[in-house]
Amino acid sequence: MEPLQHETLTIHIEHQPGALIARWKGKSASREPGKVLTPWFDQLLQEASDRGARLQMHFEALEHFNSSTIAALIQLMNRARHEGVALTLVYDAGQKWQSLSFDALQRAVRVFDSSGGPGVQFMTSERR
Amino acid sequence: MKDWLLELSLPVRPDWDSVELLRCASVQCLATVFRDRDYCDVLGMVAGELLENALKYGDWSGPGERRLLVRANGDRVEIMVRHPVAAPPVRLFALLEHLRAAPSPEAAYLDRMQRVALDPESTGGLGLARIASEARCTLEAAMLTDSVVQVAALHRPASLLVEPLLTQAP
Repeated sequence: MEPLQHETLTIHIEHQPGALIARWKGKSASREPGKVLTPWFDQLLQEASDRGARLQMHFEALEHFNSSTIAALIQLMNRARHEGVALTLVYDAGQKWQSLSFDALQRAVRVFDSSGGPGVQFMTSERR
Repeated sequence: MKDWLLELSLPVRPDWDSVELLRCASVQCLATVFRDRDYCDVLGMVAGELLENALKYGDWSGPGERRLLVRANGDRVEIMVRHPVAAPPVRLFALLEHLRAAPSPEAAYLDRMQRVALDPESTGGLGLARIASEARCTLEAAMLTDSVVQVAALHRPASLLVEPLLTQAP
């Protein structure tokens, strides 16, 4: 699967045994990021599902995202649950803005996640 | 009149690329006042979200002030965007009232996220709820003239124990 390159955002893909790793870099600040991200997420979820792999998204190298990107991530979490793909979001707890945004997403997932499927997990790492 | 350690006033163009330039400028300028770079990044997010809303919902064909204002001292940070509108933004005023009436900024943010989860098109208000919850800002909006609205996010650094680098206005 091809990496995503959109304006100031790049997402690279790595294949590991049992996992697809997507690494975000740059900034996600476009006006309607969902128009580009959502179809690309769908391809990623399809590939993960076909391979029986879990999907891990790494945000540690991301400098900034806007609330429209948060909306796209909410849709990703919904779709992953619907498709039965285990999804992990990894962020840098040492960056305050990431901590705040992903803490909020984590609270939202606790409310959304009643399907009994693989669910969405959050992990932290620190780059600094 | 408050003694501001920082007063920034920048023109806003109806050009999406300018949002990131102004957001970064805000972060850099706030870093001259506050040692905590993380805090400045969060305030930069506030500026970015307000600017994005201005570009999405403003009437850029009309006359009127188009400006980003950032003011800060040890007690208070004000981030304001002024932009033209075709008519008073009643939906914005209603949204701010709804946010104020929520049990907490976190509850309002969670409510907005749930709406997005149920309907991908209903992203309206998510940015403002993010400002109130993540940045712990109070939001206000008012018409400055018949055709210009000001949307302001107000924060008290002391609430996060963030100390300014300077203690006196230069």
